[in-house]
Amino acid sequence: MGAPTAHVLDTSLRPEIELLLCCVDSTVDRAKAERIGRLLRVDLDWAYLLQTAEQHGVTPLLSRSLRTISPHDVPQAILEQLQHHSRTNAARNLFLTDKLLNILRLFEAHGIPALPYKGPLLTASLYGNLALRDFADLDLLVHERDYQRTQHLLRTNGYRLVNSFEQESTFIDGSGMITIDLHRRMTPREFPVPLQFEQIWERRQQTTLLGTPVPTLSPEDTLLMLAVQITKDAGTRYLQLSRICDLAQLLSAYPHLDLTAMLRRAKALGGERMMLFSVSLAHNLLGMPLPHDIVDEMRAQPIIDPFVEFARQQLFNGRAPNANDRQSIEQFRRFVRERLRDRLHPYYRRYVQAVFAPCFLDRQLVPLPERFTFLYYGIRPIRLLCKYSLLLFRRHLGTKLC
Amino acid sequence: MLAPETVLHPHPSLVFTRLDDTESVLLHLDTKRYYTLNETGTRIWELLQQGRSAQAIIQGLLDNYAVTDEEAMPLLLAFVDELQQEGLVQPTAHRG
Repeated sequence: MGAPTAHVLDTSLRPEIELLLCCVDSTVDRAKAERIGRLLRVDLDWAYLLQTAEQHGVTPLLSRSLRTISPHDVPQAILEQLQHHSRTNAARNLFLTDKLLNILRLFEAHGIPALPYKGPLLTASLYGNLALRDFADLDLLVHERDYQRTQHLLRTNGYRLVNSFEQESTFIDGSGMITIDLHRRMTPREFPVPLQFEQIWERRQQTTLLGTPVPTLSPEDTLLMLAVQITKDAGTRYLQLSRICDLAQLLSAYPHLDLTAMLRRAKALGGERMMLFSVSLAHNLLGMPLPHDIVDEMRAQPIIDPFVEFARQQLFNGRAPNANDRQSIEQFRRFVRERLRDRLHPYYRRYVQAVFAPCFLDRQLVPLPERFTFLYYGIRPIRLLCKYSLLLFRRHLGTKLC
Repeated sequence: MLAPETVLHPHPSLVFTRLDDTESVLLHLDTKRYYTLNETGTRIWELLQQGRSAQAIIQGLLDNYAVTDEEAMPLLLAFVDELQQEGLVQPTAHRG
């Protein structure tokens, strides 16, 4: 596996981005506060800073830091804009959190165990304050066996299915204000870290939302989930700084989380590279402190570094990925599939489906009653074998005649 | 006039979160209106949520801010008046 396609990188960060990275860190120490003070004396493009913060879902964190550390160095109009955003965000978060509690009550009344995660749960458990993070939708994980029943329940309670993927479906309520992402798996198949519902449920912890105890992922499962999310979106416009802040905040909020043990667990699940990559990216961007053995492990796998640098550059370049970027993203996605079976998986699915899944022609060639349709899975490979043998034979015959 | 033993109950449809050390947000789930509270308002609201009486709230203000007894009561009255006008607190009840 090679490194990603070479790019000419601009390694210097704009002062606005540097300021943003200092402000979103929950542990602003004296050195960082001084750096923020220095950066605030530079001629800043405030419109760009505010736009970038909003794009990355970190306006509440930026607002808090600027108001706390150096409010007199920030133009009053900017402080007011930030504060307005923080207030409306807090009100929206309260609204969505209340809706989440209603949905959980509905599921409970129908005997459906559900684990909410991301959104309000991350905000409350990591930041200790529902106002400190932007979120727009509600993510819920249910057991595979309850997935269809839960979809039906949502539909009969005023939610409309708007999107459906292999591992999740999206519902919107009648007012258009509430979006629910219902998951039957937490990670897509292309990013293979098999987290089974039963095990996640066994390890679940409780967080309090608006005075109500709510089950959610353990910190260990949250770390794995974040690592997969960051890896999945790396290099694309979907990766937000807020996600990387969540990872850093998780390690800060749970200082006893054994990162070395977590790396071993991730390796067993085929996600060691995803974990190393996401931790390394958070370390690189936010200066998140890391244990020595993790740093050693990162040094032992220097191949990750160019991918981290690529993701870092892509995060703030503000443009859609070009052909080179897309190539790098593809290389990166191949790179994070550590095990042979994971590397083969996307191809396996594509080809197995092409060979065995019956199509219109198979049904037309051999019409079968409904109860015998399983036979098509044998008929199709035979038909394809005949078809391509014939083609080969004709080509061979053609060559001979010429 | 607010009797010292009066207990004010927040409307059940209200949800609350702090923004930071100096401000908080209240959302009325029925009307979808939200209100911001300053530092003192936040402190009073937190004491109201705990079911404290007017007297206990005044004591809380005296403990936390540089105000006298005479200043604290009008402060609380003005705040409660605004809350009542907006329907954010339920009719008062008296502790037995």
